[in-house]
Amino acid sequence: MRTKKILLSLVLLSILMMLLLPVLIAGSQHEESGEFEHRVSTEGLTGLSLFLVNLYNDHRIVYALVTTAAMATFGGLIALTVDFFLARLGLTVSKMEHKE
Amino acid sequence: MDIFNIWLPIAEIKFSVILLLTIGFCVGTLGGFFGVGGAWIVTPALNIFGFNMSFAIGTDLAHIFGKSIIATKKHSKMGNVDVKLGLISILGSIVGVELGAQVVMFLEKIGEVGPVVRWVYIVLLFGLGIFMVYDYIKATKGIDTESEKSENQNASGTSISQKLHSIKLPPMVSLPASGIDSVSFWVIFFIFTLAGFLSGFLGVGGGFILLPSLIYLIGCPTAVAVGTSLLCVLFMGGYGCFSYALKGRTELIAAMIMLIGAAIGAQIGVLATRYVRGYGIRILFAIMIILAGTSVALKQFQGIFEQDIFGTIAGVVVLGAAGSMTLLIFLKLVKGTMTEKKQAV
Repeated sequence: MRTKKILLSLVLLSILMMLLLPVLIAGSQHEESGEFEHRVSTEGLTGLSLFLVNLYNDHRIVYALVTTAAMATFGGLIALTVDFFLARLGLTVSKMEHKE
Repeated sequence: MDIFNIWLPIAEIKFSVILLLTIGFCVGTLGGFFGVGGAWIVTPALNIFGFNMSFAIGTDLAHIFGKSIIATKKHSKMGNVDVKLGLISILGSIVGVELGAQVVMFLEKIGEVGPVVRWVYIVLLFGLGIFMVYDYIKATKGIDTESEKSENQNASGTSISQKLHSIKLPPMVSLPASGIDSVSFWVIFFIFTLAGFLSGFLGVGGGFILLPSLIYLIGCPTAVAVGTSLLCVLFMGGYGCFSYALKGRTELIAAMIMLIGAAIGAQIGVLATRYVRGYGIRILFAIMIILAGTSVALKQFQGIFEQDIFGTIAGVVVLGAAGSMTLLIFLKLVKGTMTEKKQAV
């Protein structure tokens, strides 16, 4: 019974939101359509910025791989570093009991 | 103040480093505590402060990927990660994320990505938030009938999850880390595909969908839902990061800066879960997403009424909510640590 009430509420909310959608789009101040093949100007860029933009413009797959690998590596390194410093401050963790 | 602004070459905008670090720190804390990527704060915040919506989505997914590695590692040490459930999530998530990303690319071509994505955010954030507040009130005010009370207090399931567990569509899997004896693989697959679609479409890690899904649909204890949600967010974020970078919608420098702030915040959020009970985490989560939905709605009003003040208020609401909740979580950590130390003495 409770499940039915929840589902009915969600359906009514969805219908209400769908009725509002045309109003929201009308007020959206249409954004410019994006170019699918986006190229960035290299004017005035140096160093890392220039390297990344050149990868982005000319070797998109490599840019995607570099981005993903960089975030994973950076995340892992930060995790190890922060763990090290927190351990020295006595803020270590162990298995916990799950209480609702 | 211009010295704190940097030029982001891929997104081709100037942005404040302090703002990126602050956003990263707040969502890192919230992410570690709630098991979410925090994109339902970051994506609207980046858009409100000047990022094109598709760049906000792609950049945020990249940052979520890095941050979730940090937080998941911490949660796994606390026994909060159901690795088996997380691995099952990969297949559905990848399918869902790619579907969502393709829809975003189509909407960008026709110039409607901003308002449509914000509209979907509003519906989801308010709907989930109201449901979780309702659930919290019923659980804590003793309004339940006797049979519902015992179901709600059962750490391994809710009434909805038990109905889903009764779907005997093979293959069936057991999830001992979550205290679940048997559930259909296809139920889990469908839930993760939906979460993956929302991840790719909204630029979220999927955590704000996954956390309530894991609790109410799959039946995980709240803390395990937090940790497992982060593992799923890691997979979705990784694929989303690659996919959006390939589509040319990721600003790597901004993502790296946000990750620095998030790394510190994630440690605080994860540690704080030791000192807050399951239902405490749920009600705070509900409040957080209702406030995020309010902010997105205000941004929509900016377009409808053509008044910039709505956009400003939207920015204040989302950052104020994130900042306040971050502070609350930090205080809970401090209080819990001090109480623990006193008891140890």
